[in-house]
Amino acid sequence: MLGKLLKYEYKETAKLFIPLNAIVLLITLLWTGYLKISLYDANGQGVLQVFFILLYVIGILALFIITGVYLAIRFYKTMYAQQGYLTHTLPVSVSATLNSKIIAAVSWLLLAILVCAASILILALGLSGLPSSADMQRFQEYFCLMFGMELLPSIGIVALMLIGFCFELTMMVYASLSVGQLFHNYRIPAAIGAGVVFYVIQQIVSALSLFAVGIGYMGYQTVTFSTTAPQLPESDLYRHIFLTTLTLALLFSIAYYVICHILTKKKLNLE
Amino acid sequence: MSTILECKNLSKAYGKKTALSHINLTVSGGHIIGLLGPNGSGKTTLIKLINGLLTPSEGTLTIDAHPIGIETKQIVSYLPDQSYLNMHARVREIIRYFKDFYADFDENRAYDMLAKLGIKPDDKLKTMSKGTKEKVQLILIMSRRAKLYVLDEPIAGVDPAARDYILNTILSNYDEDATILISTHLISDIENILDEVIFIKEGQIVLTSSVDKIREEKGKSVDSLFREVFKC
Repeated sequence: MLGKLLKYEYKETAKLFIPLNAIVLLITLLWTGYLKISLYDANGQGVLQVFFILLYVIGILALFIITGVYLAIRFYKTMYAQQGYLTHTLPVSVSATLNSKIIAAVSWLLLAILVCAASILILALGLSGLPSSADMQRFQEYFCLMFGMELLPSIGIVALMLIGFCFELTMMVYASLSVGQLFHNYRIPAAIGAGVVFYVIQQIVSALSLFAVGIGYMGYQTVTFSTTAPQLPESDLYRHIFLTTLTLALLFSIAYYVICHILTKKKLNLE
Repeated sequence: MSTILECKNLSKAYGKKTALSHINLTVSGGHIIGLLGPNGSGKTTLIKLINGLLTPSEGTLTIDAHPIGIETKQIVSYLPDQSYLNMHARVREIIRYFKDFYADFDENRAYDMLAKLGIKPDDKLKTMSKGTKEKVQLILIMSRRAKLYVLDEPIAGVDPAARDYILNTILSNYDEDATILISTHLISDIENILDEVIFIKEGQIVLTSSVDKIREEKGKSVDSLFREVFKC
C-alpha cells in the first residue's frame, strides 16, 4: 500500500512543486543569459541587473518557504483536518501513511536544495566559464583539508548531512503538528508551541554534544602535547563534528517519528 | 446473524466533558439500524470511534470480532457528516483513488449511479453544489460492497427530493447480509426503512429495540417515541 500512497502523494504535491522549481531554474537561465549579454554591453547594466538580483533572491526564498509551508499545511490538512477522515479510514497502516508523507516531503525538500545548488552552479559557470584544472585542484585540496578525505567521499558526507537535515526538519514539524492535534482548541498555536519546545531541546542537546566533541579533541591535543605522539589534524575535528551532527539528526528524526506514530495510532483526535 | 459491532464499557471524554459514558452495545449483522438522538447526544463520537478517527478513553470496540484497525477499515464504509474529499479533484480521480485502496469498491456501480444523476465524472468537486457533492460522497460509499455501512447524518441539509434519492440509493445498493448504521435526528424521513433503533442520550444508550417491537408494544411510531424520550 505504501507504493499507492506515495503515488497519490507525489501526484498531488507535484502540481505545485514541479512548476515552482521550474520557475527558479527559468529565472536562473534568464539571468545567466542576461549576464552574458551585458558583458558585451556596458549600457545594459543597472535597472535590469537589480531586477534580476531581486527576482532571483525572491525566487530562491519563495522556493524554500513555499515548499516548507505547503508541506506542513498539507500534512495537517490530510492527517488532522477534514481530509484526515479519508486518510484514516483507508485500510492502510499508520506507518505506511506516515512513511508516504515523510518520503514525499523529504524528496521535495532535497529537490529544492538541488535546484538551488544547480542554480548557483549555472550562474557561476555562466559568469566565469568552466573551471580550470588548477581551480579543480585547489577545490579538491580544500575538501581534503576540511574532511581529511577525497572530493567524492566529502561530497557524500555533505549529501548525507543534507538528507539527515531534511528528515530531521520534516519530522520535527510533523511531530509538532501531531502534538497540536491532541488539543481540543487552539491546535495550531499548540503545534507551534510544541515545535518551539522541540527546537530548544534539539539545540541544547546539539550544543552539548558538539561541545563534548570539541573538548575531546582539545583534551587529546593537550595530552599529546608533551609527548612525541603525532597531533590530530584539524580535518579530524571537522569530520567528528559532521558525524556527530549526522548522528544527532538521525536520532532526533527517530524520536520525532516515534512521537508521530504513537500520537496518530493511539491518540488520534479528529474533530 | 453474527455480531458485527460490539462495544464494551466504551467511554470517550474530551478533556473534562464526557461524550460517551460506559456504553455496552451489541449489533448483529444484516439490519438497517437507526442511531437516533438529539444534537450533542454522542452519535458522531460513537461513529468516529467505530471508524478509528477517535480513540476511546476507556473500554473496547470490535467490528466483526476485530479491534479497530486495517481489518475493520476493509469492511466498513463510512460517510462522514461533512465534506472530506479533495475539492480540487475530479470525480473520476476520486473513483480511481477508491478503487486503488478499497478491494470491495465496484467502479461500474459508481459510474452507473453517476450517470443516473447526470453527474459528469470529469467535473471537479469544487464546481458542484453542496447537494451534488453530498450525492457524490454517498455514491462512493455505497459503491463499496462493505459489511458495515456507517452513515453520519446522510440526509441532513438536503432538500426532500434529494432525501428520497439518498434513501433509495442506500436501499438499492447494499447487500442483504450487510448492516447499515444511520445516524440522524430526522426520524420521520427514515423511519420506514429502519429495522432497529438505538436511542442515545447524553452519551448513554437509553433504548435498543426493533422498530416492529416499538410499534407493537408501545403502539407508537419511532418518531413519536423519540419525541417522548427526548422531550425538552
